Amino acid sequence: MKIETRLKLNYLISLSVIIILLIVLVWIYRMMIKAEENEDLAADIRKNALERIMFRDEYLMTNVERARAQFISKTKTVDNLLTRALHNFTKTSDKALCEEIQKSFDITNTIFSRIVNIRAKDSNLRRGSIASPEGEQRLIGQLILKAYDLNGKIARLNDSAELTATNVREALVLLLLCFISLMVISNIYNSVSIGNLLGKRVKMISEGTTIIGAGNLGYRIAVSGDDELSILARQTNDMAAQLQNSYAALEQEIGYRESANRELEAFSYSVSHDLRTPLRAINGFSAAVIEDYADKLDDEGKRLLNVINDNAKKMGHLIDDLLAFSRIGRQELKKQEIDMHVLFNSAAQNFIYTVSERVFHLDIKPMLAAIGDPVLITQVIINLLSNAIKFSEPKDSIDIEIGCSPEEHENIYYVKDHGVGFDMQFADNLFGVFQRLHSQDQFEGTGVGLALSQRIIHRHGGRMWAEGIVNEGAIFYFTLPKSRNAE
Amino acid sequence: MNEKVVEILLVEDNPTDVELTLRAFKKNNITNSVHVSKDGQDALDFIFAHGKYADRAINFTPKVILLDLQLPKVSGMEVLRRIKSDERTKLVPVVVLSSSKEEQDLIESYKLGVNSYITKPIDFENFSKAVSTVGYYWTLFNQPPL
Repeated sequence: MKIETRLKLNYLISLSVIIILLIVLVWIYRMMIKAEENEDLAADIRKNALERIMFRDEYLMTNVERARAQFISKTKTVDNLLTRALHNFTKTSDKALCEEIQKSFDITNTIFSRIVNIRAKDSNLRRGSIASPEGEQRLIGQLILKAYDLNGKIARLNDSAELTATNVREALVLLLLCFISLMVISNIYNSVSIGNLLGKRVKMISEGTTIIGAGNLGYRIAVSGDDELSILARQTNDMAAQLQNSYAALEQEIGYRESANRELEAFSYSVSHDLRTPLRAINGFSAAVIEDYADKLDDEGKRLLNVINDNAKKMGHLIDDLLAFSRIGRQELKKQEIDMHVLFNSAAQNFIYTVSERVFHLDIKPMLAAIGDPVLITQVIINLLSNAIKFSEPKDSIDIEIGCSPEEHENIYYVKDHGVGFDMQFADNLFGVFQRLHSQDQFEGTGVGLALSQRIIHRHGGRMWAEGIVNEGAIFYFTLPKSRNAE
Repeated sequence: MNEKVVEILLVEDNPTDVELTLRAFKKNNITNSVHVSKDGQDALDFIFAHGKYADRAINFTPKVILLDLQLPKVSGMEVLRRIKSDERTKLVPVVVLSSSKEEQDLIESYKLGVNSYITKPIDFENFSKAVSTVGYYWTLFNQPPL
């Protein structure tokens, strides 16, 4: 059952108990009114019956006409009261009692009438005499007896009416207590059971989500019931299943990629080994021809063989560069804090001797430390420096500036030369594999250096770009994550 | 056997590389006797005097073994492992002459106890220089344990 339904039920039970209670209260209240009315009625009958007896006795003793009239008036009152009682008393025993009372009452009336008649006949004879004839004496005796009986019955009716009223009052109190306790008990039961259910479900879901959250995606919350929290638990299970599926799919995908990667490695291994051997043969045997048959070859023949020779070498470099480029993608980064000043400085030392006969001016500005793989970053720096030197060669001097500027999360490093520069509209081509902006006779190189450098920087999460002006120089920028200890 | 004692064992399956190597020796006046094995099994048979080399005296070990890694039948790496794990041959210097520059090959070879690892240059001049240097060094200058 849903928690919402249970809560509604709780409220409905309370409401219906209140309604029933009200109805019962009204009903019992009416019963009580009636019982009290009957009680009053019975008391009235009793009082009037007693007064009637008083007037009867007075008349019997004094024979005064007023007393008789009063007796008759009381008789009428009692008769009216009895008629009402016959109508009002609904209990069978009370009704029967009322009938009996009516009967006894009628008898006393009859007897009284006879006495009155007798006295009327004898009035002339015994005027002033109190003594009664024997017949009258007998009737009086009967009347007293009957009246006594009548009084007893009236007293019984009175008692019964009182009892009924008391009973109704007690019943009212009892019922009130019953209903209130019923309502309280049912509400308490419902609340406690909802509380228990909520506690149980929440605990189960919380435990389940903790386990699933810890990585056990195969775990499922044991669900029973159709309440809202069970639905939540089921949805959590569905979510875990979905996650598990995605995870499995991802793992499969990773598996595919790993095997593809292994294939690629095997491929580059065989490229590295197998492509080199025939090149070595081409180069070696053309060299052998030049050596062994020098006397039989003219200069053009030797030149052509040398072209073969050079191209085989060039292809060897291309293969090496291509392999280096593909290796960058697979190689694991060994990141650490790098003192960029040391790195730039030691890289620059490599070039000092190669350009010794020229004016070489290198300006290294203050450097900020970065995070990266020092071996790979050194490769980038060497590439940039060698480019800067290479493209400064047509100028009179080699003027290179190296600097750094901090950004929010990274540092920007730059290498600025005053060499031949480049046209900015070709800036995007700079970093493509085997892309060159200058012809092979102008500047040597395979065109892999910048592509390789950019790939290294990208693997560090950095960026690399360049700005240039033809014949004025170029600036190459790259970014690296800041060292955490920089501040 | 009437042949003179083999001083250099060249294990190489590629005939052009064999020819270039021998040419480099000749050009640099390395006249030591060379035996060429064209696969890993032949090399092992020669070293351990098995099969067709059964009547060869095993204690006449070469002064140096030049070993390619990619070989038919038994790989160069396996040949290296067998040489270096056998008491009789573990002291024989082995130089890997490979086209491969792959780091895993280098590390694996040195782990197995290779004495030197040379990547064959494509340029013949450099190749010739490398091969002859190896030849001179191990046959002339190096003092082997006796």
